[in-house]
Amino acid sequence: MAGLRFEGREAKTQNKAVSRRILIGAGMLVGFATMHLWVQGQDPTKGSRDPAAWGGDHVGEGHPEYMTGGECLFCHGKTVGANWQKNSHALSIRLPGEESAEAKALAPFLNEGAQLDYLLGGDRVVRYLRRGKGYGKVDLHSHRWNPHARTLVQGKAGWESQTFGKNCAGCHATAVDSNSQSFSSLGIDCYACHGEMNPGHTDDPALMLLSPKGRDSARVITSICASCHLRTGQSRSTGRPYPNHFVPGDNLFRDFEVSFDQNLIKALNPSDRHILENVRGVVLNGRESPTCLSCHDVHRSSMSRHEKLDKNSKLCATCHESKSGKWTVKTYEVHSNVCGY
Amino acid sequence: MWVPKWKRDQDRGVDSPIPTQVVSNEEFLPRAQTALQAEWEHKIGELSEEKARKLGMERREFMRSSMGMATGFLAANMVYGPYWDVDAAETEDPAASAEKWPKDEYFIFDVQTHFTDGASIGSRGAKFLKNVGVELSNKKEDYGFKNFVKEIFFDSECSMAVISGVPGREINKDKAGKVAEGRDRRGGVLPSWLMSQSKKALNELAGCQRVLCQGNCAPNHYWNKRMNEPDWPALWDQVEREVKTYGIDSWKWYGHTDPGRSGDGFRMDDEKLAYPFYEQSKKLGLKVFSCHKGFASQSRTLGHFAHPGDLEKAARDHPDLTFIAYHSAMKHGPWEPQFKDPKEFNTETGDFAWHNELMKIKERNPKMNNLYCEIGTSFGSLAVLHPVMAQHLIGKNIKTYGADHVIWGTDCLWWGSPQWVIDAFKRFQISDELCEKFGYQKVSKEDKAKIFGLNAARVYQIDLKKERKAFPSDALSKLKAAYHDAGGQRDNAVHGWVKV
Repeated sequence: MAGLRFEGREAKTQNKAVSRRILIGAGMLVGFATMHLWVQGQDPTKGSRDPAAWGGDHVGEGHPEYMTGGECLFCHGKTVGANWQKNSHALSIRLPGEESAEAKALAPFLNEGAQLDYLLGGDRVVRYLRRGKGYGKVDLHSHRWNPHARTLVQGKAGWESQTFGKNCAGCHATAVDSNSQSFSSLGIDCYACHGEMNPGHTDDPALMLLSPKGRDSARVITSICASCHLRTGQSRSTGRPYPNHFVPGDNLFRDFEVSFDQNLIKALNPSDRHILENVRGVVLNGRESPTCLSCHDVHRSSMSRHEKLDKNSKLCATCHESKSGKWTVKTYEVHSNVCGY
Repeated sequence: MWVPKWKRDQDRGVDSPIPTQVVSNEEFLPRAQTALQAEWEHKIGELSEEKARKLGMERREFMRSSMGMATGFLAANMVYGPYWDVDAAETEDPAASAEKWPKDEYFIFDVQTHFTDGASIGSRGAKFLKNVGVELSNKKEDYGFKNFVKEIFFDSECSMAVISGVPGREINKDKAGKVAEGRDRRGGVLPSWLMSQSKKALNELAGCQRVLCQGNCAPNHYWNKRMNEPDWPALWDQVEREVKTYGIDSWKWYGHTDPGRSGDGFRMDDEKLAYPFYEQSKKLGLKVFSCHKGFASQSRTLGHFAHPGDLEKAARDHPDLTFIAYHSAMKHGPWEPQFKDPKEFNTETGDFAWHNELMKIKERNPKMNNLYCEIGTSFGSLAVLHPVMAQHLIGKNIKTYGADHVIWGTDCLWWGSPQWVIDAFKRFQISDELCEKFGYQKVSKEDKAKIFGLNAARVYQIDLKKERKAFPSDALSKLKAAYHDAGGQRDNAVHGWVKV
């Protein structure tokens, strides 16, 4: 990935040199890894790194008094604001809009005076939310919208007050208190990925986590992204499918349990397999590159970085296949008990 | 690609006193320069080159003069149509402008000015000189109070200003439970304690009242999670501190932000949140509530709290309070993709999103007298990008609320010195065609005088006779004179970002 940072005429020479070094390095790495696996009796987890061995956590401690997005955007609106509006992270919870088909579909099922406050979800399913009783609570309606069929799928329970806090809050809200299952901000606020604001970051942007100028290690980056995108795990301390008071910068895996069994990974859909394989590479094998950010330009939802990957990379084959000489995205289904689809 | 405005100008050899492209005030993203703007910029370059040569002046020197400013407006008229009042003579003779636009003709009181507490928001970049002996850089100091004084008071005709708040809240107590003071209170980009400190420092220096300040505290800033309601003791502590200790002159509310992590924004007409705050503030004698309305599309979950609809009940229920709707509740600026959506601006009616909702409030409540429209950034950006909409903005504000309920604000120093916005409004007029079609009145000098400062002076209960008498001989005027005697001039660098 280092080669991607060089641009222009001079860079070609550097790129070639870097590519040679990478090839030699990769060859050596493969050789060592093969020997290592052979020695370990071909069990990929035996003798590998302990994912929980580094860093700290905030399990049971609660969240710090973080700076909220409204404040951040006052300075960062120029680089984040407009893109963020269209970003799937930002859209995961949104206002329904009077004219939305999803909202219209639920309207006949709302009692007079009852209100639909937010929509949750996107491509796979859309759920309905209203403000709940108590701090950081929302109710989830058991009806759901199928965006592909554009139909309402009816559930039985109506408004449920516990489900969002138990299952959804960890990834669709910010600073969730695992004990009360309440959140301090609905949706994904800046803090969820960038952590606590360091006042010195105005002089040195690298002081913020996931800053473009940052020097975060792969395991820190991976912990942050995996805190939501690793859908097969659960907190050891709470049993919930989301981390217990994860603060960006923490080691997610001190409390968040996930199986890296390769047979299990192979059985997953390409999307979840892609994530688990990459997380595994970082937390068990100590891989430093690529990280999630090598390919995913989060604020812009851009695929341009990922398109720079070598098309022959094994990584590509997780989601793509070659059909008649053309790379296409594999057709697959994603199901989740936690998310209810 | 995003570049600082000054950098783009430098690269292109542009030195215009008026931004020819909308600059981000950090609350929104400007759009790329349009074909008309590019033509305008080209025309400014062409005319200024020609006139500077004719007068034997350096082009940069010419553009900093009143002739350069007049050239900018003349070029705009050549591109957009005859919207600005400018004579060709003004582009070649400073005396023509001086005679037509006497410096002391209007009392200018800007209710929306900002600086930052040591945060560089990235718009200046590498160092360069602008012939005024000021080294422009991207350092945090360039956004600080000293430069604020220079750009607001020395480089423009502004006589009084309100240091206007930004989203952020102070920490009442440190981790040991001790009451925090000064910088230990933190409070974001421009905390209340700093606005207050700066106000006091400048007024003491001047020897009279030049600056007022706002306070950032709002109903959702201190939250009792167990009760899911404001932490009333903490909130009232802060309210009292800001009114009594800081001596703030107005609140500045951003209902669509949640620095206290309450889990939500808040409405101005929320009887459980906002109303107790109003009562508390009344008890302390502070009755001016300035609220950010519009320009909030970043947030998918809180942005709707910037809609002006909540002002109607709040203002009706509290006739003894004054409410100022900042930005005149303009939802989308010309810099946003939504601006091009036909639903956002109706050319048949002249209505545009959320501003029309603000107008409807007054139409439904003709006797309502305590709601004002502030025009910061809205007027400046439309003047640059959409002069017709700028006429609708001012035309409707005056037609609906009256010229005595429109308030001057610029959002500077994000826009550099406010002088170009001041010049634009001096030269502003509504066309005969729009007056006829939409029932607008021509904007008289009396109207402009009210909007430029008399209205804000009334709202803030400024004793104008006393204060204006003091201005010419106060320390600030003396420093300004010394600055100009020493060759100090407005630089044309605008603090913000543009897309190229």
